[in-house]
Parts: sequence; structure tokens; C-alpha cells
Amino acid sequence: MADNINIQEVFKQMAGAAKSVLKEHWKEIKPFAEQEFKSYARNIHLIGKLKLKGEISLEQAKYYLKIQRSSIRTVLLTIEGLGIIAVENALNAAINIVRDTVNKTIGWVLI
Amino acid sequence: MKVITNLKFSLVSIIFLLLFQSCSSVKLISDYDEITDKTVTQLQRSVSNYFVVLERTIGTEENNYENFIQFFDNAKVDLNTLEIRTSVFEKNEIVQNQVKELKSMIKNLEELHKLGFTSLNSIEALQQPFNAAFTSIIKLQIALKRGEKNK
Repeated sequence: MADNINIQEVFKQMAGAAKSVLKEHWKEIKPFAEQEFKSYARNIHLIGKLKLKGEISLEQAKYYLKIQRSSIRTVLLTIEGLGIIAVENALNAAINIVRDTVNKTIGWVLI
Repeated sequence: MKVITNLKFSLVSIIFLLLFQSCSSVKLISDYDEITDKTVTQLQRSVSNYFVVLERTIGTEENNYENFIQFFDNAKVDLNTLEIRTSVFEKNEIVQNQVKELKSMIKNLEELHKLGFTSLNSIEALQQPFNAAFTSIIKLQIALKRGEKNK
């Protein structure tokens, strides 16, 4: 099992998938995401080794993988949240830029 | 005539609605919540302490599940607080889902502990996912805090 897991390949696939979803926000999130994906790939490899060495049973291995899956979901949710914050900041920055111009032109504090 | 008046009223309503919306900043995700942040950090500390004791007592009777029931009870209380707290705020689905995943992780950890740990490697393989989960939840909270400061 462990020998069949290519850590680099798992990492590459995860990073590729995240990059295609996040597009222009990938650059900001990349350091955090890559670090977590690398840890994830290494740990999957470790679980495989534990099973091979007989240090954990199949039943235990399933719990390990469930924990690992939940963990990576929390990481992906953070990446999603950081993307939303980036969009929110961009929209608010755009509003701030036009605020003064619009308010001065109209003569009311509208924005 | 009445149709034109209704049309004018609708137009004015739409303009007012747009103006009202434009007065406030765009908000796509919930604000930072100090209680969520503190409770997650408290739980993270408690889980870290659990792993330290687990490593120290490996291979002894002290490592048995029965000696850690209090830890799991306390963790469930913290998770319950987090579930309630995160459900109060609007646009907080991301943090709510993170708490759900954390709850599932603690539940599976408890099942694993009931089966017992036999080596340090088997504990090491658990620390990484918990560290990653807590780091990511706290990272999002810090990002929400910055967002709030920028407003």
C-alpha cells in the first residue's frame, strides 16, 4: 500500500486541482495550501507504512483516513474562505475608489 | 395614469434600494468572532496536551482510553459551544462546516483510542491532521479579523 503511494504525485494533483478552482487568488493562498497538501501526502504515506508494518489494523487505518479526510476538508474550507475575503476586499476597494468622486459630483454622501 | 404612477414608484424604490445597498460595504463572509477564536484555541491546546500525555504513557496502562474520558468530555463541550456560536452568525457556513469536521475528527479519535495505541508512530500520524485542521481554522479567523480591521 505505502509503496504505491507517490507523495509527489498526490501533492501535485491536489495543488493542481486547487489552482484551477482558485485561479487569480492562487498566488496569495499558494504557500499555505502547498504546505498543507505536502503534509497531507506525507501522512497518507505514513498511514500506509503503519498498516504494512502491522502497527495498525484495517479498522484503525479507516479511522486514520477519516481523520485525515476531515482535516484536509478544513484546510480546503479555509482556502475557500480566504478566496472569498480576497473578493470582498477587492469589491470594497473598488467602492472606496469611486466613493469620493461620486459623492463630490452628486453633492450628497451617497456611497 | 395610475400605471405611470406605479412605475415611477417602483423606479424610485429600486433607486433607493440600490443607494441603501451602496452605502454599506460588500459583505460576502461573516465577521471575526472572538469567542469562536478563543474556543478553537482552547480546544487546540487541550488536544496538544492530550497528544503529549499519550506519547509519554505509550505502552503503559495510563495510556488506556478510560484515563482520557475527561478529555473527550471536555472536547465535546467545547465543540458544542462552537456549534451553537457559529450557527448564530450569517454567512458563517464555512466556519460551521469546519466545526463539523473537527467534531468528526474528535469522534474518530475517540474510537481509535478505544481500540488502543501501540506505537509512537501511530500517534505521530494523528498529530499532523489535527495540527493542520487547527492551523487552518485559526488562519481563517485571523484573516476575518484583518478584514474587520480594514472596514
